[in-house]
Amino acid sequence: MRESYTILPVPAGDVSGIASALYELGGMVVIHDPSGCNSTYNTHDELRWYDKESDIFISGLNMRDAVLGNDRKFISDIVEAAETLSKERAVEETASKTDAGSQAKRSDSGRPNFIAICNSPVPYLNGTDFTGICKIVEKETGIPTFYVKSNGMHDYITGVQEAYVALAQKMLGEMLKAIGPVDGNPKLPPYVTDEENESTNKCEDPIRINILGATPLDYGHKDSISSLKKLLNADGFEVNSVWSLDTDFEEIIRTPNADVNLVISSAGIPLAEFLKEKLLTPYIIGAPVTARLNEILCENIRNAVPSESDGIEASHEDLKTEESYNKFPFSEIKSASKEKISIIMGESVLSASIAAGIRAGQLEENTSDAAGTNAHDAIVFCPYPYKSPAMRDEDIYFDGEEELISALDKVISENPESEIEVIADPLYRPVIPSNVKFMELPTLAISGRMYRSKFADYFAERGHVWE
Amino acid sequence: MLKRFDAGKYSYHEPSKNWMKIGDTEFGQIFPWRLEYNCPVHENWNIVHTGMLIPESHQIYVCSDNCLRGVILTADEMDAADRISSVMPTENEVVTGKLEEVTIDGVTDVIERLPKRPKAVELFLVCMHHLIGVDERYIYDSLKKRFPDIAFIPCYMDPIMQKVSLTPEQKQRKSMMLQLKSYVSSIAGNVDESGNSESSVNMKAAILGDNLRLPESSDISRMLAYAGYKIEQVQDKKTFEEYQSMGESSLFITRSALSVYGLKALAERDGKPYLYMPPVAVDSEIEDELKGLVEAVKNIAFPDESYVNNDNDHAAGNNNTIANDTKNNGSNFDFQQFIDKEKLLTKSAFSKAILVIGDTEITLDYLCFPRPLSFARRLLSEGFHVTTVFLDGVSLEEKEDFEFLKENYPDLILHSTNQVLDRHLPATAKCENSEYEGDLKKNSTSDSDSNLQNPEERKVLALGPKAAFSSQTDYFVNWIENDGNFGFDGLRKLCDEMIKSFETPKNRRDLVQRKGLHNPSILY
Repeated sequence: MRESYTILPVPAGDVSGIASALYELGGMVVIHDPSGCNSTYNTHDELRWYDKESDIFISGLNMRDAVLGNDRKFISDIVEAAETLSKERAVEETASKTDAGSQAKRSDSGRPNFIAICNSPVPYLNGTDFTGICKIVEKETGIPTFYVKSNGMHDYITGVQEAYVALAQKMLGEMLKAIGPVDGNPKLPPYVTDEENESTNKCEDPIRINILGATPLDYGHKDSISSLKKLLNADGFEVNSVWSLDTDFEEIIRTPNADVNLVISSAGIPLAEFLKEKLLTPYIIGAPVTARLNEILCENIRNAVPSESDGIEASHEDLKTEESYNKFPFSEIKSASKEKISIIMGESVLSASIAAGIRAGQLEENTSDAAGTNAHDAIVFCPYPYKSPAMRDEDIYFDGEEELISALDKVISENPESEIEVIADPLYRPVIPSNVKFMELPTLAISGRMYRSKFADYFAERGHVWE
Repeated sequence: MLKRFDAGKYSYHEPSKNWMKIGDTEFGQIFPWRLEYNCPVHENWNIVHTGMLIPESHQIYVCSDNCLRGVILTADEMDAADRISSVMPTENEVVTGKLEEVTIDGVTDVIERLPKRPKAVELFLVCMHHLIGVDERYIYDSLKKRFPDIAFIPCYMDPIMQKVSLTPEQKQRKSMMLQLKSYVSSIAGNVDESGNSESSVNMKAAILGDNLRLPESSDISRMLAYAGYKIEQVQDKKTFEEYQSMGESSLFITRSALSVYGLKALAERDGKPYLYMPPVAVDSEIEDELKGLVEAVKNIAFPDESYVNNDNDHAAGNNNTIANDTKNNGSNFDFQQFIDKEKLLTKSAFSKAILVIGDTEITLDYLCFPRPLSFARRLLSEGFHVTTVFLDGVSLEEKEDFEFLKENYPDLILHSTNQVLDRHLPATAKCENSEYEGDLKKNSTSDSDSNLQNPEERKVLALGPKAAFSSQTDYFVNWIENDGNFGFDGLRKLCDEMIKSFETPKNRRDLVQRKGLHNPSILY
């Protein structure tokens, strides 16, 4: 029965995904929930809680208010909290006594940059009108307020996806206003046709990249994003914004200034689609977890961005057809050897990138030779049921403990000659047969904080994390 | 149920305040129920930890992802992943009225797939079961029919009820206690629910509903030992049957307010006496509780005698001998002598502690002490410089302590831990907020306030993990629930621990974030 779990944990939930995605952006996140969500989130799904302030609260909903539909209390509590926090921060900022590094950056008035409201099972079941509530809160506070679709019954990837798109939709106007000079180096997105700026757009600027889908739930190592930035900078790119780790609200608002979006987890795909639709920004999916993958990725990033000679109109057409570049450029990497099969369990983009890295084998340092060593087959087992371009036909989605066990049995029985290895979070170990080699690759989204000191920096300049 | 204050006291538009001086406030609900912040201090026990006390039991939660994750990882972190399972109904199943079916079938599937059949299953239903109005009796009847060899213990993870009804903890503890085997008689020989009698005299007292074990050195343990009683505690039980056999006891005792509801139900079921003995800190209150224990033991020993305990007994030389020499191992027990000696020893322990700690600022919290105002009162009365009590509400049980402190120490600060402004707390605790700093200064009895000027130079001794986090100090007593202690013995242990904690800092960041103090913790 797929609903039952005898030993496996459930992944981080949608509400945790929302809170994690919006953590550093100086907004206020309110979960309409009796209790539990907040504690589960900050205990198991959030590594920043102790050190970095973020306004994430629960409503403390009780049965009486839920049954009687007392939304007024919820609204008033949010309004009161926003006002109280604004006043408090305004005083602190005036006094300049706040440690800037320990807080998410907010507007000058000390007000939250936005208010995001999330759902949970009970208000979901009684049909609470969150859109209406958001309108009233926005009217009473003057703070952009939006609902992030959720109900506590889905995994964190849904939550991050919904949060990103909801924020982008709400802030699109502000983002568009913010287009223009960045750090004294003017850059315009491809669709802007202002003649005065055309010449500027054609200058030899580095390609600007937004990184989408970065949360500690997948990238828990504290240096993950700085390592990725370093990697991209070394290849001549410039990171324009990161959604949404080691970042701030101002950076997010600059999103339209990028030439291309790099999606490093499936949580970023709907946002990439949204930005492509609204801003015509192309996107590439993949996490450059090896030097060889990085080369492939860089090449595809360059291909995705319209060149100067294409002209602006040409780039529009290219973007509409979507076929001028490979969205997940690692999918073509195959391995002839089935002597060993690695099964990577986890989020599709990162796991598929790791699998591709294994199939490609190690790249000798300082060489561009495409032939790697120690290459062998690798497939992905993904517990999250979202169609992802990173998943190949050979890869497997599984829903629940039983499906995982039978999928494993199938791979083992179909490949009797192969050495099978599973690379997964340590909490999957109890369901892995003892004759299968198991390699720990913990993630916050599965085992929470238990193995936090063992999180991998996938983009560090060192050996691959699975070796 | 615990009595609660009227939440309607606060108007929606009244500005939030996360601290106040006790002298400026009235007894009641001092902080409003509004948006809640959850601070990164997790040493308290939750329903998972408490449920694990029943040996050979297995917990099954029927719940959605978000809530489920917290309990599953709680068990994983305490290295008990093999004692917890879950059923996760889909959105479709919930909204199409299949919650009962998926609960029954899911639990069945879990039990059948477990490597070992559990003797007891603690089944946790949740908020959505209430909202949808599932037929719980049908669920349990079906499961009992399928698994007649398993004891199903009805539990709840339904925080939506906790502000308007019984808390999940109260209901869980009641269910756990009602698993004890029922014996209708006690000291004169037990008769179990099947009518079988035991001839031996049973002098056992069961400590029930407490997370932490009562030490042998406690006042309760020593007094019961004098009376020839054996103490039964769940923490000592290795099998489910051993746990159930605690029902043989002739007296039931709890120290937890959350357990009174269940203990009363158990006592009524079995027709036995029960005592609620919360860990308090004021001599007279401890003495009263211990008098109650003496009285209960005497009533059990001599049920036909009308024993009246009053001060005239002492005046007349009628010592409150716990039991006669046929029941107390031959020892003569003088209650008043015992109390006087305990008071003296405790006073001496406080004197020793204050010599070391002096007028150092002390903060304390409700995790460390279930009755924080009682301990604040005692410490202030002993001359300690207590400035702040961290709590989110004041229990009706603490009214007398509240009024005492309000009258005698009006500058004492009551500080919340879960209001939205508490997200800012470490900064305010470091005196970065001028208003707060001013009040701390006013509250100081020290000649020199220099220790309040700079947080780095200001040494604070915190009693409890939330006080340590909020006061940003590494000098703290890392206790929850009075560390299982009680009475005069507990106060002396507190004094020793205060001295040790004052002299040796702890790794606050690491300790306070670990879940369920005293449980195994496997954080890498």
